[in-house]
Amino acid sequence: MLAYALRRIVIFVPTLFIALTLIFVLTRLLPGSPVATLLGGQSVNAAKIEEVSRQLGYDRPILVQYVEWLPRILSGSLGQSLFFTKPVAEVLLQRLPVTLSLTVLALLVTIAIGIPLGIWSAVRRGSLLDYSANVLSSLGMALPPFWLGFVLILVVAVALKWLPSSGYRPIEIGIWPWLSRMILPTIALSLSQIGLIVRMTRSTMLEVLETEYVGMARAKGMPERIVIIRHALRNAMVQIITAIGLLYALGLGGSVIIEQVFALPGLGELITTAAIRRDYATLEGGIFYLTLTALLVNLVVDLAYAYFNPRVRLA
Amino acid sequence: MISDASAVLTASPVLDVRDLTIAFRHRAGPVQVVRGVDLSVGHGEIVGLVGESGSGKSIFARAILGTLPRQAEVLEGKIAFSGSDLRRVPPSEVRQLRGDRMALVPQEPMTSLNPALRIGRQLTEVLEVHRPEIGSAARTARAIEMLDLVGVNLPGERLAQYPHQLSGGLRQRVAIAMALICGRVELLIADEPTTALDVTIQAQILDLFVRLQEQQRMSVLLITHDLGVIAQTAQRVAVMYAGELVEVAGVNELFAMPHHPYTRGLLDSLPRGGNAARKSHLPSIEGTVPSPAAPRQGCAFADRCAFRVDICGRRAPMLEATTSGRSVRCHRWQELADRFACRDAVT
Ligand code: SF4
Repeated sequence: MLAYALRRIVIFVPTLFIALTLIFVLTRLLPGSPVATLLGGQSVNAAKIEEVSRQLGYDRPILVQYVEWLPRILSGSLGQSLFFTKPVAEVLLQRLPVTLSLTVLALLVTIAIGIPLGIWSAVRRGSLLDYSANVLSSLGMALPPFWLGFVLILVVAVALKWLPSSGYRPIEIGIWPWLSRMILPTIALSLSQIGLIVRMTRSTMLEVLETEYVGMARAKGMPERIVIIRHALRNAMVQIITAIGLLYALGLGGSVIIEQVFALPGLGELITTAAIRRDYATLEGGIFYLTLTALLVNLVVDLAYAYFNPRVRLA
Repeated sequence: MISDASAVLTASPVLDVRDLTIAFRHRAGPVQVVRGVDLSVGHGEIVGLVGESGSGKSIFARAILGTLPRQAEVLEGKIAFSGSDLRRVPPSEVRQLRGDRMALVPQEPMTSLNPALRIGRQLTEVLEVHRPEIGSAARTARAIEMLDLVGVNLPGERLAQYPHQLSGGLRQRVAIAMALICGRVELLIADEPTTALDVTIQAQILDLFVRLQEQQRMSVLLITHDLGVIAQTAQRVAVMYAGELVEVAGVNELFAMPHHPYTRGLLDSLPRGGNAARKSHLPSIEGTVPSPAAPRQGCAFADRCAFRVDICGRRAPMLEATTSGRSVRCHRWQELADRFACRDAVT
């Protein structure tokens, strides 16, 4: 297990490097320049743009910029935002808890509801429950999260006045002020994820329940509860776990929109604004943070994968 | 002549199946895969059930164990185990019999052990469920003892291993240990226990089977497509074709003088002189088992039978008892028996 964990961590390094390179290249590929946006209000002339570009170093060859940029971002100093009068790292650290709250809560809710529901539909296949779960998960996947967000705001926050409609309170202020503002966005974000994991769990469980070792567990007289949890689910988890890593990445994508809908000052909201303004430093830093969380979640997923799969663990 | 097989039969068999019919549910209606099978296994007896794949023999075994797949159901018949009709016993009680008083040795040791659980866990959980009074240390000790009994080397270390770390032969030994671990098995059902193994391991496992059967005084239903396996182990043989028994006889009688043309075909395709390498060159019976869904008229074997006559296609033969205590399902068995007896006398 230790050897496997070390190997995964070592692989983490080149993955991060590739991700960073992609972030840099894709950001610079955006049409338009930050300088033009920065000077947007003023009557711009070419000479002025050139001058500011030189000051900011954007006139140098892209490779030189890259070589300079890479060690800087790795050391955590992400540079100065062109638009905020603060270092990018500071802005990001303020925003990170918001996005993490949203995506991690959504993932936990997804796992807590989706996996049991999927198991249940598989075990009771063809039953009313299986049928309802199927309809619900199709619905969850078909409804766009932002629309769901609007409906939740209109019904739960505006009409029923049960929960606040938007904004964010740090958890330090109190669990409830924080949680009450996270509930609706979490529901909006997790519903489509739940649909996905229910289907994934169901089909994997159905497959595993047909295997000979599950038949053997029954032939040994194991009670059905043990057959399902110890014999079937343990093996199904190998595949379900993989889906969870993917789900988190999807959730990060979804969070960008959900943060807009619920006016949550998270990374997604920041990145959108930074992209529009061509604020390279903020944009790259924000995506770097998102990538980092996704990679970390996938690292955890890989380790959990090994836990459920002795063939991987002992290889 | 009294066969030595009948000597071990006692008044109440361990397993007594009567008129068992099993069907798969299908959109077009139920499809019968086992048709009116009568079969009993006496105390301490090894009965072979022979048939090609698709003959219904594995489904028959699963019906006895009460682990039929969802799509299958018993339509008719009685499955008496130690006197009680399992079809009338609640499923939870049948479950408690499984792994304790009746056990299964599976076909594929490669796929029938759980890949995610340690060998030790897979052994001790059987005791946990059926013998809750045994403490955890004693369970482990028992697991080691069983592995040792079935000839697994380093039994203590195996407990911590996973199935993928073991060879096929070792896995099958583990599966046998798993079946016997409760120590109260009355009926062992072995479904092709050696098919997935190579020839030398096959022989070792069969030896182990016979030895354990004598030691533990249990009854065995040995399901296989290989009459060679039967010859080495069983006392009585039932031959199944397309869901029906076509011949039942003591093993010596059957090998000496098969009555049914299908049995004859199976015997002809056996390698002589134990040369297993020649197996692939031997003639096998042409054609395949008819689909259970196909409409049936007359003898199920008619399409492949070299002795087929007019009546075979019109009227289905019944399973007839012969004077020597055997049964056979063929219109012409008597006539053929006489003819082959003459020929054998000449040669
Ligand atoms: S009944 Fe006819 S077709 Fe069937 S096995 Fe006998 S001879 Fe062959």
